[in-house]
Amino acid sequence: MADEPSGIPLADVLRAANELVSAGLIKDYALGGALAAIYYTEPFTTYDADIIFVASDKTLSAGIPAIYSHLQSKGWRVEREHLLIKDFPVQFIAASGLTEEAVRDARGIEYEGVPAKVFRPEYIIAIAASVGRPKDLARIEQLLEQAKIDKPMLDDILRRYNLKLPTK
Amino acid sequence: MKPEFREKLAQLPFEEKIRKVGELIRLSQNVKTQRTADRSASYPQPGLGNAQSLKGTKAMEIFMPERKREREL
Repeated sequence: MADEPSGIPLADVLRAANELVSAGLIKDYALGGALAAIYYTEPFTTYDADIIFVASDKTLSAGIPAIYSHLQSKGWRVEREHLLIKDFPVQFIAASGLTEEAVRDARGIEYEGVPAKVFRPEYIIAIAASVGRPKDLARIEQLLEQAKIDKPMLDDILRRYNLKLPTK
Repeated sequence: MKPEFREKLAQLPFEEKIRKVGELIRLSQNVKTQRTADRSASYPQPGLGNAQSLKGTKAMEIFMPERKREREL
């Protein structure tokens, strides 16, 4: 992995996602998953990056073949459900419903000079509550402890998507 | 692990946190490589039994090991 100092080529990932927007292959995107959670919490181990995108192509494939083909032409490799950049796995996931709203309302950031968007913690919590694996429940607890949460906003998202936070 | 130290880590710049995640991944890979080497050499390594993986390990445990030692004393 990595001739980048961090070992995780996140700037390259975000740059590539911006190129996909410029090329019209996707409408919008945001960093989701564990790396988005780490934006707000202490760092923890994760082995991939999740890019959640709003598709330009609203057919069933969500334009994924064109996205893969574009990134492969830039030197990315495909390994099962991941695309690899400098051996680091990245998943491109088409947004819908809650995740689409999370992309549209994502926070603008700059990472090593690259403009990008990252899910707000309220949406990371709601998405984790909807998935509900043990690691998602741990993520919810960690975010509630360490991130500044807009409680009315979180409650509104949970209510609209009929979700509940786990009870301890 | 004291919440104030974890909160301190949570306040680090994102770039710094991503660098630490990269270090955690490297450490995890080293542990796996070590275990594989030990298995192929067929030498039992009692101490490595608990080391299985660093997945989910928090940076606090890696970057502030002295805190863990303090707690153990």
